[in-house]
Parts: sequence; C-alpha cells; structure tokens
Amino acid sequence: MEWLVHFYALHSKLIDQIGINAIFALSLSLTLQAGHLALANAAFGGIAAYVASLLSLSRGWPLSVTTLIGAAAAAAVGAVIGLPVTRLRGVFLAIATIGFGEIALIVENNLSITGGAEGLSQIPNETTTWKIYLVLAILAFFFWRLRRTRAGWAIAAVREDEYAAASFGIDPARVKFWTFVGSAAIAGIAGSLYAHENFFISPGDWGFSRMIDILVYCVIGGAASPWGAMLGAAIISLLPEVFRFLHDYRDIVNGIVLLAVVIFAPQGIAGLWSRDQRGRKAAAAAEGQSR
Amino acid sequence: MSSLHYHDVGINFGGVHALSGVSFDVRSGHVVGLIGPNGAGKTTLINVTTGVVAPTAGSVTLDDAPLSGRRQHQIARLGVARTYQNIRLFPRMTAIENVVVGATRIRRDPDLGAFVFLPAVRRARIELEEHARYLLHRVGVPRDEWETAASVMPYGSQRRLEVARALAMRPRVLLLDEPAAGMNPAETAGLQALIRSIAEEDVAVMLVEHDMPLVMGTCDRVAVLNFGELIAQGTPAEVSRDPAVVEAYLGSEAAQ
Repeated sequence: MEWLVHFYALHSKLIDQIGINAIFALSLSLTLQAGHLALANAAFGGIAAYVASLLSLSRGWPLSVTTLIGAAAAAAVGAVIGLPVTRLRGVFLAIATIGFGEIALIVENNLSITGGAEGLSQIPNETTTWKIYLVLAILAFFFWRLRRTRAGWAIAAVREDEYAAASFGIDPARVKFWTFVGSAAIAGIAGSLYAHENFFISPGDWGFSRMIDILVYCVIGGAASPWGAMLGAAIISLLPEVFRFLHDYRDIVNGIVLLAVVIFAPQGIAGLWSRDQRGRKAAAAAEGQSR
Repeated sequence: MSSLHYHDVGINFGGVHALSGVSFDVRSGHVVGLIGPNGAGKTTLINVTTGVVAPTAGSVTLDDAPLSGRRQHQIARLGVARTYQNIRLFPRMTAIENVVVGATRIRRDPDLGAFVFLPAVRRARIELEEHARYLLHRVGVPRDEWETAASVMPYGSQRRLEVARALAMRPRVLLLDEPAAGMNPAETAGLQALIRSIAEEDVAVMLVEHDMPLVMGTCDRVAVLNFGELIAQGTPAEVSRDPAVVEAYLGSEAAQ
C-alpha cells in the first residue's frame, strides 16, 4: 500500500496525462467510427480550455460547471463548422478541419482576452486524477453502449459504405454531422481538464502537432475502436517514460515502435485481436465450402 | 397494395440523354423485367428511383407520393429497397449484421434504451437476428457463412446476401439489379422461385437482368430500354416477338 502511494506520488502527473490523452483519443475515435477523418479535435480542446479557464479565472466557478460550458462551447462551434464541413469527404475534410484549427490558433494568438501568445496562467489546479478517470469511465460506458443503439448501427453502416447505408434509410449527412459535434464536445472536456491540470495554457498547446499526437493514439490502438483509442493513448503516453534510460536516443525507439505497429498491425493493436477472429471465421467458411 | 409509376422520366447528363420519356408501372404482386443492351439506362433508372440521381424531366411516384426530389434515405424509408449490380455490402460486418442494418427502416426499439440496459433493446436485437437468420436461410446463404465478414464470403453468397438485406427492410418496392450475374443454371432456377415468392408477398418487383430465360420465366411484364428510350413493353411473349426489340438486340439486318 505504501508502495502504491509512493508510486502515485512519483507518477501522478503521467497518470493524469494518460487519462486526458485517452479522452482526446476517444473524441477522435467517434468521427473515425463513422469513417471520416476530421482533424480539429486539438482546436476544439483549445476552445473549451480557453472558455473554461476564463470562467474559472473571472467567476471562480467549479471545474464541473466550467468544463460543461467549455464542452458546450466547443460543440456549438463544431456545429457551426460542421454544417458546411461534414459535406466534404476524405482528404478534403481533413484539410478543411486542419485549416479551421489554424484559424482558431491565429484568433487565440491575437485576442487580448485569451492572453495572446502568452496564453492564460494561474488557472486553478482543480483537475484531479479521480475526476479524469471518472470522466473516462463515463465516456467508456457511453461508447460501449453506443454500439448497441440504433445510432451506433447507423454510425457503423456509414463507415462501411455510406451509399449503401443511405439506401437503407440512414442519413449519412446527419450521422457525420452529429459525430462531428459529439467529437468536438468530448475534445472540449479533455481540453478543459488539461487546462485545469496545467496551471497555464497557450495557443501552442492546441496546434497541429497535438492533433497528430491524437491521431497517432487512434492509429496505434485501432482507428475505429474506442478501446483501441484508449489503449493507444496509454501506450504512446508511456513510451517516452519507459525509454527514459535511453536519454537522447529515446525518440528513435518511439519512431521504431510506431513503424512496427503500422507495418505489422495496420488495424492497430485492437485489430490484432479482431483480425484474428475474422480470420478464423473466414477459414471456417472456406473449409465449409470445400466440404 | 402499392405501385410504382414512372411518368415521362428523362435524365440529361450534360447533353447526353441517358433516359428520355420513360413511362411504365410496377404494381405490387407483379414482377416487371427491365431489359436492354449494355448502356441502355437500366441501372440509371434504378438510380433515379432511389434518389441517387434526380430526373431532369418527368416524375417517379410510389402510390401518390412523389419520389423524385426526395433524398436517398428518405426514399428508402418509404419502403423502396434495392440491390447493387456491383455488390455494395458492409464489408467488415457479418452476414447477419448486414441484414440487421437492412432492417433499419422497420426498427422500433427505443434508441437510447441501450444506455439504461432496457430489456426491450435486448429483445429487439434477438428478434432482429432471428429474422436475419430466417432471411439468410430463405435466400440460400449457407449457414456456416452467417457469422462471416461479408467481404470474405463467396461471390454467389454475396449476391444472395444483397437480396436478404433488401428484404429485411420489408420493402413495398424491390429493385433487383442483375441478381443472377455469375450464377449457374441451378442457382438461377432457385432465384426465379425466390423472386416469385417475394412478389406473392405483395411487393412490387423490378428485375434488371441479362439472363433472358430468367426474365421470360419470372416476369409478368417486360419493359425494354434502348439508348435511354422505352422501345417496347408487354408480356414476355409479346416483347420477344416485337421487331424493335429483336433489332435492338441483334441488329437491323437480323431483324429483316
């Protein structure tokens, strides 16, 4: 028990980061589950972080309230952006959302209320480990049950083939819009928790490199799987710590691990399990045919 | 009882008349064959019916409800089902899951019920899968492929799965786009019986097919398209005697 306390004292920051990164990964996994690549989650996290931080600083409202308002703000912006943008497909949607992220950065860099390039500081440190993991547990429950709802079936069908989905009464535009808005809201929750964890935020926290980090969590874990996304976030967040003894060379190991996953497990870590399953089913079917 | 009406349907792709002046009816309980040489506009007519492309002239109505102007998913919700010539299954879903998605239109289980573990949701899922297994059995997908991902199923099974998925919608209108492609004569005979049994359930069936024995043996009426125009319609016997049809298929010299 004493060992556990000691371990937590030493690594609490890392444990918190893993949780927040996992929430970011879940936010992206929602749009990936519907089969579209929207890369604005870091920007939505930033929008919510600024809104929540400003409310904490000026009004002194508690974390739960500021986080909900921040996430709602991110979702509202997501809805406005989502209406035109979710009509785009594939790489066009990716580029449009990256462009939106850059616009958000420029605005945050130049508004006086957001503190410009220096950002905001003295944000109350209200985020605690149990709060992060409570949110993560609620979201994991949501994603687990979502697959069993009609909405979950519609999301999966649109991912598989949006034209075929439409010919069975599913509106792909609606599915894409609402997954985009939901994704923005979840990214907003992560952004607000991040802000209240780190004492200060600046526009640089929400740039393209953060977006790529989030994308890597999902690719490593398995693009369309919420469990994979969380696992990917945990692994990628841990890597730099595990290989700390390599000092300056540890980034090389990070790169090698990324390459290995992409080459040997293109469906991600979650895909290793399900590919094995499907493979067995396919083999059984082939055997049935030859009989 | 419902019926599908094409009234003077025309479609113009930038000066090219893919369809023009097409008028005919498909009544429930009947199978109407739509035949014609490659490029005659058969699949285009299915795409017009299902809202993939909008007609530039004329209209398509289901009973008294206009279909033209509505979007794809709205038309599907009215009970218009289709299969795809170039198979469009949900590749990573199993056969059963594909059929469950097909049933989207008729599902009535409470959507948010799964979040609070409502027993009704579980029961609905069991019923949907039960119905899916019945349909897979009916169209002849072998039992050991039911849990297989659609993308790795044999070609013939994929075609049958297309039909099962469309039936899951409990369609009022069923548009079959070359369902017999790649089937052997025994399989085609099974398909013929299946299509007749679907029509007997008061579904209006349109069959696009190149397999003439299948069309002649299955259909109550046949419509013939050539270069986007309806050149003949009538019973299979009438159509096969029609000189314009013979000419379209075999060339003018053979017709003389």
